[in-house]
Amino acid sequence: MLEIKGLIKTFFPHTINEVKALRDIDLTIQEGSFTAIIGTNGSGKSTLLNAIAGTFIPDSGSILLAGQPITFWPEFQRAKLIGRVFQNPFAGTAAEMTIAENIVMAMRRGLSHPLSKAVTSKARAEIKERVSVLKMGLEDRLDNPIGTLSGGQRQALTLLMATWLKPKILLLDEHTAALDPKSAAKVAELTKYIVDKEKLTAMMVTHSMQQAVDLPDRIVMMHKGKIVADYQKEHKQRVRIPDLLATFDRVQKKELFDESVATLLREQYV
Amino acid sequence: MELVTEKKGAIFIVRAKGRLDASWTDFFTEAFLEFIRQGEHDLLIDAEGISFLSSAGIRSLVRIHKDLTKLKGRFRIVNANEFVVNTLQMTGFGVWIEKKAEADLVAIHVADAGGDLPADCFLIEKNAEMKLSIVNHWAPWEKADGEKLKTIDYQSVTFSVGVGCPQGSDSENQTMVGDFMVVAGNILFQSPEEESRPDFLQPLENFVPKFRVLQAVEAKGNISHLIRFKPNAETQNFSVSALIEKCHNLLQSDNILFVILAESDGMVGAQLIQSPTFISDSMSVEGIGLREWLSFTGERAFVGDQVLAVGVASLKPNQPLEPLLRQTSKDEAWFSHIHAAVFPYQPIQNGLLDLQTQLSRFLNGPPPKALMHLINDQRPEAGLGQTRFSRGAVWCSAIKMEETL
Amino acid sequence: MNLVIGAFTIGLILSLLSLGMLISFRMIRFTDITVDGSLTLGAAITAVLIAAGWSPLLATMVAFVAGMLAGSVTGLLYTRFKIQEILSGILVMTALYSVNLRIMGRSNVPLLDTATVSLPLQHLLSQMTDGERYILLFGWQVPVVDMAAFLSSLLLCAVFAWMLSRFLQTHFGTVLRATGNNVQMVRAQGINNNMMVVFSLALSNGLVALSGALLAQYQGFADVQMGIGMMVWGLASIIIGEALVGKSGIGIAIAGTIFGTILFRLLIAIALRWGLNPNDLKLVTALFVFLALVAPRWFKFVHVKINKKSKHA
Repeated sequence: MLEIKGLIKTFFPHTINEVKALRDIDLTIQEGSFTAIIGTNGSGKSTLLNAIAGTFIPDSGSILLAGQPITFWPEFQRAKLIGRVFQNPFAGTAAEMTIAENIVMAMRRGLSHPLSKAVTSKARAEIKERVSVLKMGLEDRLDNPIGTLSGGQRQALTLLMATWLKPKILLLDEHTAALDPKSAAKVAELTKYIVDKEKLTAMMVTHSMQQAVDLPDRIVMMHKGKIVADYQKEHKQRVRIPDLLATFDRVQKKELFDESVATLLREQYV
Repeated sequence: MELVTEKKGAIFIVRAKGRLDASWTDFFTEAFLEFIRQGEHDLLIDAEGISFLSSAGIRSLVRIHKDLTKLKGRFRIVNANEFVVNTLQMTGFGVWIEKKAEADLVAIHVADAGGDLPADCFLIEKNAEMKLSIVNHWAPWEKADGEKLKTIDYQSVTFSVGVGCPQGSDSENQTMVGDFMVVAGNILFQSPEEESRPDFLQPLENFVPKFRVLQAVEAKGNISHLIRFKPNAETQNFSVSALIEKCHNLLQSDNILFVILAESDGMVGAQLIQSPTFISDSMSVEGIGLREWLSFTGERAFVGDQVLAVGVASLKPNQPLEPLLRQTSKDEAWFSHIHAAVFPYQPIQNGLLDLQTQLSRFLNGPPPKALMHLINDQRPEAGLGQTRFSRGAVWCSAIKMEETL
Repeated sequence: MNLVIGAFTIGLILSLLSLGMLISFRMIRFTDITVDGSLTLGAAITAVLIAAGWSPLLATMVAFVAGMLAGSVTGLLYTRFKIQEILSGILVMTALYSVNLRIMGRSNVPLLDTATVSLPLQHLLSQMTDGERYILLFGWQVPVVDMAAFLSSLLLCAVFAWMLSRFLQTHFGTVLRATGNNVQMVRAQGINNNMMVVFSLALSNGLVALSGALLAQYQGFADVQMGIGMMVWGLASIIIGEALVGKSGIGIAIAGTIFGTILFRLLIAIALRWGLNPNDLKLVTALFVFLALVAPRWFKFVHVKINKKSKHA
């Protein structure tokens, strides 16, 4: 479904602030799989998602999504294939516009936006039906500006909007991180429900190792712009939080392992 | 029937006098069950005064034995006369008879043998000592194919440190060789795979753990002394070398086997992360490439966790032990080889402590977090020094070196 | 009454300016200074073309298209060349000053006794009143010319307001409004937000130029200076409108903007009548906008303070 090859991105090259955000990433995502991406701050996990979404153009490498070479496509063009939910619950919806108006845009994600009436009664009926799945009572508030809703409600709507037209891939960028624990749990549950029901291919960046262990089919761990661990299938089944922590630990230790340590251990380890 | 009791260290001695037959068994059984109820789980029956033992008496002893087994306790019989010994052996309970003299069995608080460490010393078994052997030899980072592995059975008297893998199918062995340690027959090991957790093999009933060894130093025998240490105003923590020095003062031996069970105040160690059996002819482990084979703690790790360590230390190691030992600390004369397993913290009681009891407690509790080969990090400036402990216990024994080693 | 009719007419004409600015300032949140130049551009083109004998309607339409072009240039400077929005506007506005002078050939083009877009209506009114030069409205004598100008402005304004309102509720219009609300979201819906900005600025400045075109015809001249300060006037009108009817809903926002413009125009007419020096007009307007921008925050601040005090007590 998604094939990333040799992806490299350096921000602010040749300056003091140079950040090698992605260092030669190779990643293939199978159709219908749900992948969690974990990593420390600055590990490049969100950058990877943004590279797929087209927030920037990579320095080198290629991205193939559903058979289409999207590496150089502008962000809005990729939206045809990609559904996104952001960390900031305010990022995915237009606050001053109504629920219905927001959803109407999502109903034509990646399609043309003609000069015909947007919120027709037919559209309204469809919206009502699908919004009621959220069980938040929002179906009776379709004409309220989305800005009047809570973060959790907005994030639930964003998720619904991102999947209204089945995307080739759903990108979730720490989409529960900014919510209160209860809303976060609700959105996480909803995510699982929608991904399962629509049989979506999804990638989720998360800080919560619990979420990574609980939800997806696969866990990819990133560190300093590289993929350092990739748990799939039966490996994913047995992996628990302590294993993830141990792997982080090993990666960090390997980094601290310099010439002096090598010399020391050559003398001391028997 | 007359019972006189005496407590010596952890051991509760019951001196019995009279006939242990049907008319006395109820009294005898009830008395012992009461001792057990009061918390005495290591009983020594001084049978010198028992003149007769009937089947009813044996049934009473079986009952007591059963109750004690449930509590992981034991009883032993000393000084029995020939009739009692014969009766027990013929009925199949000969194992209860302890041949050693009472004085050798009872741990005694011994005078501090010198040094300025705040520690209590106990004699556990007089004249107990260990015999040393090098089971197999592999020097890092020479080639090590699977054929070099030797299969070893571990008895409860064995203590060992080395590199090896559990016995499984041969193809697996190729990938599983990692650091291991043996404490009183219990094998703790960690496979060098990325996601593996430390594991252990515990001798249970008739199960004798087997292990395939690439390299190991092994000591067999009994523990003679126990040292308990805890910090005071002057001494905040105890380095490995200080503890070894303490053992040395106590044992008056230049070669020592020790087991430490103590709260860590910073571990410094390394661990195999790739099986040495993968070293091929074409590839040599060089320079920074070592990081593909070893992981280094990189900091004083696991502070506050409970550590079980076993090691061999020597003042003047000679061949073939010498290549397997390294200087324990920068300024001291000791050479050692120590492996340590890190467990989540569990409190340990004060005073006299039984190694077997503690081992079964830790091995049956939360699983170990890590296993490592302790390193003396003597790099200038960046060096982390040696591993330190804040409080705990050291069991030790002198190693009797044989010329034929 | 003439004064009132005049104020209403100018108010209605300037409503188109305000509606244009409603799109740029409120819908896509773009601080567009091009307005000052594109208003004059509309006026200049119309004046020159009508003076050259073009049909007023055609001239007005050309002005609209020219305004759209000016807006597009600002939009392209901003989106394509990543120039800050205010600077993009300033660049185009400055350039337009010379362009307008070039179009007019001098700084002022009079339109004396020429046809205007209200001419058909004027003829119609004359026929209805049998050639009278005045008609009676609520007991007042109102010149037919003025009445025709008023009615045609009203008609044009109504038509554009209705069209704009309908447009903003289409799929395309919804996306346009969302662009100002949340660009990230709009991009995630597969919309080329840059294109939306360029289009919105074009539409906005088209309306502004249209307003300029009608203003020139109503005033009877086009002046290269006539656009100066128009942006602030438009902003003041929008703010008054929002204060009058709020901003919930598109229809309300549009109606509010029109009412606000007319009211503002009336206020100015009254103020001038009472002896306000016309030279001070722009200062007063600027002060008004300043107050309108600051007052809500100030009120909030006071409100919070009072709340705090009452809580402590």
